[in-house]
Amino acid sequence: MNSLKLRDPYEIPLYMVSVLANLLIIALILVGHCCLDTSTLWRGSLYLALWSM
Amino acid sequence: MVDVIRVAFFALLLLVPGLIMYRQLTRAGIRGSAVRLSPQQFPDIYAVKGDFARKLGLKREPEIYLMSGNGTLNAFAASTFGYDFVVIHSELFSNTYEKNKEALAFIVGHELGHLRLGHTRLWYQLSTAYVDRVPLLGGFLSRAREYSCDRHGAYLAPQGEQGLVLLAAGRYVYKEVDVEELLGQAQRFRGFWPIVAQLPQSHPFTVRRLKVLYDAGFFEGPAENQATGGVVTAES
Repeated sequence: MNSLKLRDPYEIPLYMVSVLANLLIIALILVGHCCLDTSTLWRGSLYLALWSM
Repeated sequence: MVDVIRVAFFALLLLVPGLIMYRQLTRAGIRGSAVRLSPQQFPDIYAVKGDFARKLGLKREPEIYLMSGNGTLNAFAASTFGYDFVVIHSELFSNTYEKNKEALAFIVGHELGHLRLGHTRLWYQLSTAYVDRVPLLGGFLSRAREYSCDRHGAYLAPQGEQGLVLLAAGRYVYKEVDVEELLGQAQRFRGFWPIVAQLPQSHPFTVRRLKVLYDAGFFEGPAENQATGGVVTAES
């Protein structure tokens, strides 16, 4: 059985692109969430600073 | 926007447990609602599945189930922890079981191809979890998977082109379809609109699947003859 012949020639390249796209989406979600937290932190610090004045 | 990011983040956290739960529930549902084939229950199809699994060198012997598709012609393969299984809708062979074993063998071979190539594995589904929602890319990958599994079906059932004809024409009349004429139709199925119509589909158009297999040499008989400018002719 020829394994290469049994797989569509475009499947592996498309899979690799898909995995990269998948990782990119996950990275965007994580980065977005971290930025969200950072801005929340910033806002909290600002409120704290204003309150302490 | 903030809410969208929050929801996406929590969805990401739930992706792995959610997918695991979905897979387990799918198998539980199938076990409860479908007929599991065995040496006593549809022994012919069960034997075909065992034979094909050995030929493909599958590490785990897959289970095979039969269920009503309520009129839908479909079959699918799936996996859970420790189990692989194939589900076939009985519409694929009801009333014509004795006459379409090759067609059914093609479909079983196609589904076992999904198992062999790892399309049902958890790691594979996680690695492409979001891509299915990406326009165009998800469709391209899905169709490439189907082409690969068609090759498995055709390799295991060399007379199984009727399996695709069955999907195209339905179980009542597919035996009367002229395959050569259908290949001619596939030959003429080109241009802008067929390409656009194909883009959102998860499966390639059936006539194209048939033609691709003939062109790749998996089926014998009518095929495109490049020397005659793409005219479909019968090979000896």
